[in-house]
Amino acid sequence: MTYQEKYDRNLATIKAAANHEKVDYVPVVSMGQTWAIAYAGETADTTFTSMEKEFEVYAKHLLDIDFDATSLFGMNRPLPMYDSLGYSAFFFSKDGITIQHQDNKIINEDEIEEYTQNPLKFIRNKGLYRRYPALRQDFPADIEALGNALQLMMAHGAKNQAIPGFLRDNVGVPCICGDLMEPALDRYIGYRNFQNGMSDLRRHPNEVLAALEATYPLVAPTPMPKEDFPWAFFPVVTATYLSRKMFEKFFWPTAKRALEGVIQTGGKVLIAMEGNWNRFYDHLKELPKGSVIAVLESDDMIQAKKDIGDVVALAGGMPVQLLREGTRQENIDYVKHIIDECGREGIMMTQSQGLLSPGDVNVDNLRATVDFIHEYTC
Amino acid sequence: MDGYEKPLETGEKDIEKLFAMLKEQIPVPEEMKDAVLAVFTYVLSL
Repeated sequence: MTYQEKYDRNLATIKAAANHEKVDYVPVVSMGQTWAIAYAGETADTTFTSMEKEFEVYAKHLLDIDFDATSLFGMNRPLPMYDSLGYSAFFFSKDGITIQHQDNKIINEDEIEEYTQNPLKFIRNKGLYRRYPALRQDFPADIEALGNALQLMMAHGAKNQAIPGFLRDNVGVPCICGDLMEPALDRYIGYRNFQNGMSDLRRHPNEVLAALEATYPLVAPTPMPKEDFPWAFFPVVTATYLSRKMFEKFFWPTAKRALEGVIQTGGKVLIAMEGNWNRFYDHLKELPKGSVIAVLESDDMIQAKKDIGDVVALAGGMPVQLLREGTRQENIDYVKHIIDECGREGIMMTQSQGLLSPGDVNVDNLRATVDFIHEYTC
Repeated sequence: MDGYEKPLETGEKDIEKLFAMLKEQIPVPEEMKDAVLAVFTYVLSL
């Protein structure tokens, strides 16, 4: 089988799983992120030297282990753009491999209303000015730095455009996530930093609601028609920290609007549900069947299948801790139980978290579990 | 350029003006320029 044939077969299977259709085998999705660098025996310094080298490094684990799809491929942040402006919030830890992000703030507590009145102006004149040393240079060095940064962002976009073709011709494994979307609440809290932003929900609820409406256009999907693959990538950090009442007040109204914006223009959304979401399941059932793929981190997949599996396709069932610390047989028994209880339709198996660090999983366990899932469900 | 070097009331710089200057230079159709710069601003703010 050629890589192109394998890609087409895997793509058909992963799309069938998302559509709750019958599949020939339960597909397995890689969550390999910077962990893939360690797997290939490289470091960030030796990986991000060219697009070709980056693709070669990230492809190695997909060629060696029989994954059917990958959630991401390559570095999804335009690090050269940030570097060019003197910004170091995204950095690699001492191991030279694990990507990390330093929480930071661009809106002070007394500036929430000013931000709300004109978010783009506020972000540019205050947020970007404060964040980027290169923009504080004298003219024309500042405009040159901004223009160079735009070129680097567009180069990052061009790299992303090259991924599907590379994977089809050289690996045989599709990447399931396309455009990044964020919930308005997550973006607002990102601007305030996590601790301040979460406190705002109780201390300044009305100001936050206004700020969320002002933030929504920044994170809203375009009204353009969309393909049903790859899926919009909607990672959610905040929800697991919210009560049901706060979820309904601060999170769900703008999140649902964004999700429906994708769905109504022909797309599907992969929601990466960090933490535990079972108290919000009924809201996910407000969305059309087959429009959402939910990646579970801490939720019980068997219970999720019973509660929302008739509407939402589920991805999960491979806890990272078990892959790291369990035995081969314990991992095989675990996924067998998941498949026996959930059935073979409307599910895909994946790791419970993005793999970032060299020791995140025992590779022998990962390989054995992936192979077992295929043998057992064929 | 007029007024560009003048600081804002806050003492900070008018970065919006830099974006307006950049808009003149970017090689995309006129009707797409604001959207491209809005995305650029968003990515820079992450």
